[in-house]
Amino acid sequence: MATLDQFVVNIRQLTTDGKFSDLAQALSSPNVDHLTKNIQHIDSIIATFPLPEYSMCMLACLHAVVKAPNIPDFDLFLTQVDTFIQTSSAEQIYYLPQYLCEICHVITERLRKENRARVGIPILYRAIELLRREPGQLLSIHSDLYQLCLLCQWFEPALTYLETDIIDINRENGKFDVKHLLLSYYYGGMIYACIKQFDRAANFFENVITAPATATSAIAVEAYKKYVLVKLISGTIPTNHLPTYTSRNVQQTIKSLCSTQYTELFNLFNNGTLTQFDEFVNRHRDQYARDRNLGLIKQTRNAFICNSIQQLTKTFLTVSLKDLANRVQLQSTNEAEKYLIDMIENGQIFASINKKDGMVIFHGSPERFDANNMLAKLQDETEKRMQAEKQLKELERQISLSKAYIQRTQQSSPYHDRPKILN
Amino acid sequence: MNLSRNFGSNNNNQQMDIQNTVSSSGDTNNNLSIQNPNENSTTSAYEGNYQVNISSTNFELETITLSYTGLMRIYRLLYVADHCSSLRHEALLSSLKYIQETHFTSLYKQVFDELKKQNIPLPNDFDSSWYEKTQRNYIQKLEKLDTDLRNFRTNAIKDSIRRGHDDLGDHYLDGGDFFNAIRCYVRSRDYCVTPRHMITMCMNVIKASFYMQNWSNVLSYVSKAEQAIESLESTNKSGTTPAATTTSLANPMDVSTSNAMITSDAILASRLKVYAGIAELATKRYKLAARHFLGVTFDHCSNHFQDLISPQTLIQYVCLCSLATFERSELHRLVIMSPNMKQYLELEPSIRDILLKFYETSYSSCLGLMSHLEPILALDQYLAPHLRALYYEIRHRIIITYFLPYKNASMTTMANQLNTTTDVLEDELVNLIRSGKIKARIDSKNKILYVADTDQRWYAYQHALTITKQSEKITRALLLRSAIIKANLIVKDDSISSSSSTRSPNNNNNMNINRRHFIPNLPGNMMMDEGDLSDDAAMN
Repeated sequence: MATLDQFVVNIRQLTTDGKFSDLAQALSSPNVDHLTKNIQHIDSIIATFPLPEYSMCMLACLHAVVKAPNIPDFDLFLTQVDTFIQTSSAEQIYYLPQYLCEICHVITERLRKENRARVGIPILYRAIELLRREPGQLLSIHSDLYQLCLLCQWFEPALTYLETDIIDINRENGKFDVKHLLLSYYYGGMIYACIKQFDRAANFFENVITAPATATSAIAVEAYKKYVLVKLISGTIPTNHLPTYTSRNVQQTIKSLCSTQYTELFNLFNNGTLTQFDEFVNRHRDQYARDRNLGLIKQTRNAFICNSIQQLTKTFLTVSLKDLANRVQLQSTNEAEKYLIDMIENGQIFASINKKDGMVIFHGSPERFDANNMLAKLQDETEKRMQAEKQLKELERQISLSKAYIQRTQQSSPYHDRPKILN
Repeated sequence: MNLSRNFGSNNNNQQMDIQNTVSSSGDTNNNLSIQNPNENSTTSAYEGNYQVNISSTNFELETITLSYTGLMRIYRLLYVADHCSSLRHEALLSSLKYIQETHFTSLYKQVFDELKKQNIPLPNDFDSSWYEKTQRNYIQKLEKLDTDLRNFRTNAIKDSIRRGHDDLGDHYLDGGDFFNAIRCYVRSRDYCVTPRHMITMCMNVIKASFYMQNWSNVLSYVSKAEQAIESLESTNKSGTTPAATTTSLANPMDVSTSNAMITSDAILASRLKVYAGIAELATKRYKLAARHFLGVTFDHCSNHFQDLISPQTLIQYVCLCSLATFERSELHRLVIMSPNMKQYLELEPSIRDILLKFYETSYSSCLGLMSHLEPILALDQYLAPHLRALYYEIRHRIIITYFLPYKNASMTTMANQLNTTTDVLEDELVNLIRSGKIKARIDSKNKILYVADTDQRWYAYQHALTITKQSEKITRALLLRSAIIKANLIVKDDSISSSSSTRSPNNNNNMNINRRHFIPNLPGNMMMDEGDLSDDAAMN
């Protein structure tokens, strides 16, 4: 008890003196886990730390609670964390980001088990807000937030973070596990797939697959499966090439695990018929069910039909509905008409149906690229791209100015001993 | 039934062994992949047990019996017997007759059984004791050759040993035991001293492999033989001129056997081209096949290749392969105007007509002639499996060239020209447009084919849009990646000691991919890679 008191006094002193790095050291030192040992007194200790002055001490206490084998009153703890996040000082938390992250992981896990995902979302949302230093920074809490959002199908909080591209990762004092990076992109991809932004979803899954790796993560494998489906649904001309910088290890694992059920779909899309597609899907239905991809597979079938119809627009100027239904292997002309109308409305094809003689007339794209708004759009896109380019340039500049880089290049240069001679 | 096929598949089992033999005898050529020509599965109508109706043609067995000799004649006859019911009777009987000239007892038995099954009366001069007699002879001769060879070995005279192997191989070949024949021929390789010997050896191996339909083996030995001929020519340059050797025509039957004295190099070269051509044809490289066939001199083909190919057959091959793969100009220059090919074409006017009609763009009559010829070609054992593919290819080229000068074309006229209906034509056009072979769009209502008008400006803009999107995506991915690398994050095996956790991403290039434990289901479980990081860890 005496040591605990002394410890508390010590950390109070450090806080008042403003020696935050020493304080962080004292709190995170694994030898001095007074708080965890005296978990029964934690509530009284918490009471002694007013916020936001003693944010870091408070954080350590809350962390100690999480570390304990069980949390006595979880709801009370949640409110504690919530008020803490809302009132604490960001400046102090920056010293111990890993503690807050760990707390968040535990909360997420617990809420997931109790099926109360919705409760945790505001807390995590604010935690990210508090902890990240710039909008483009990734924290391990992101993956937790996305997971909870997925669980309760409430995407807005996640989307506000997903919309910003990540350009930095908070290392959380070395505690950031690459798992969280993969998971946050995996869940992000799933969220985008849920709100039917398949292009972006495909990008997210691609990021999971292409992450630097010497071993293949199961997340990457699952991501690849979804990547294939999402890519096909997104309606871009399907190719099965992963970026060249994909780790070879991952490529081989994917080849051995997913090629029969998933990669093969690319081929089917390019030169298969609907009957072949249905047969293929039926043959592998168990696998898809096991991977929980049946929903996506259903959408893939739809995409397959749209793809076939789109192919026809390239070969025909006019075609009868009956012929069209035959060529796409649809059941009836009515079904064909339904798909056509959907596609015309979505702007995927440009066509009109002549009911009198049952002909479909395909038109070229009405977009002539001569209107102002189209040019503006083009400019927008180009600007976005230039923005990214600028960030890249900045990054390059940082690297070329960094001490480590200069040292390295100096060493490897054949003239590295030249300064000596000059001296 | 299915004699020629049976024969093929029996030998396919042995191909594996051949490989072993070949490699064990010091052959360093490892690209002898096993290719089974019978299993090249295209959904062609001329695969498997099809039947050809020749009533509309004037095809006669004599074209085979007169222009071929030896095993090739027997096989061609049997192929006809398999695939043409009206000629089966006759073909089986005459093949039986020709088999009696050889020691091929197993084939004799097959044909004999088939004759019995078909209830075909045997001819009057049937020699019932031939089978036993020949078998006895065969074994006796085999033993004799074997002892001879053993004697040669003990005497250690290289050339005699080589000849001994060759004789034994020839005998095996005569008995239809191609597998052992190749083995003997390949063994003689160690005793080859001069390029001339090498050529003989190669020719023998090619011949036996050819009968076994081991095409990869044929091709590799053809290139070996060609090398040998080249080296021979370079050594002979000081002596006799090549022209002198060309003129000394040889007895055709001896060309394939080891009699190097009177073999002309030019004939050999032609012969190699035939072998290579048929092998390429069988492996579906039609253009290469056509080029090989084009190099075969008419004189050689008509006088010396009765055991291999008749000029009529050769020009058929040339015609189909070149129509399917050559450009119009190539066709004109290499086939129609070639003085060498002209001689062939005079022999086979129907083929000449097809080529000329194609070149004159009277496609309707060209296609008519082709379909008229189809049953005959379907009775050719090397061409038949590829007939469908070649015919399709030729049709497609015709459609493409037909449409080339038009801006829009009536599909009804087109269908008339191509001897087909508009519906069939439409399907074909759809396929061609899809595969990008013609740029056009179909007006199915009015049955008109329009050239696709490409709005270049539209495409440029569209392209610009997609490119910006792509490049933005790539740049973003790059930013993320550099962030990951900057944070020193890498998917790795956590079960390996923590000493590797500080590895910089630079030395991750040596990824050993092996024994992998996969923990499925839960995303979040890492896949573990064992025995991977040891050397990486040491570098830190």
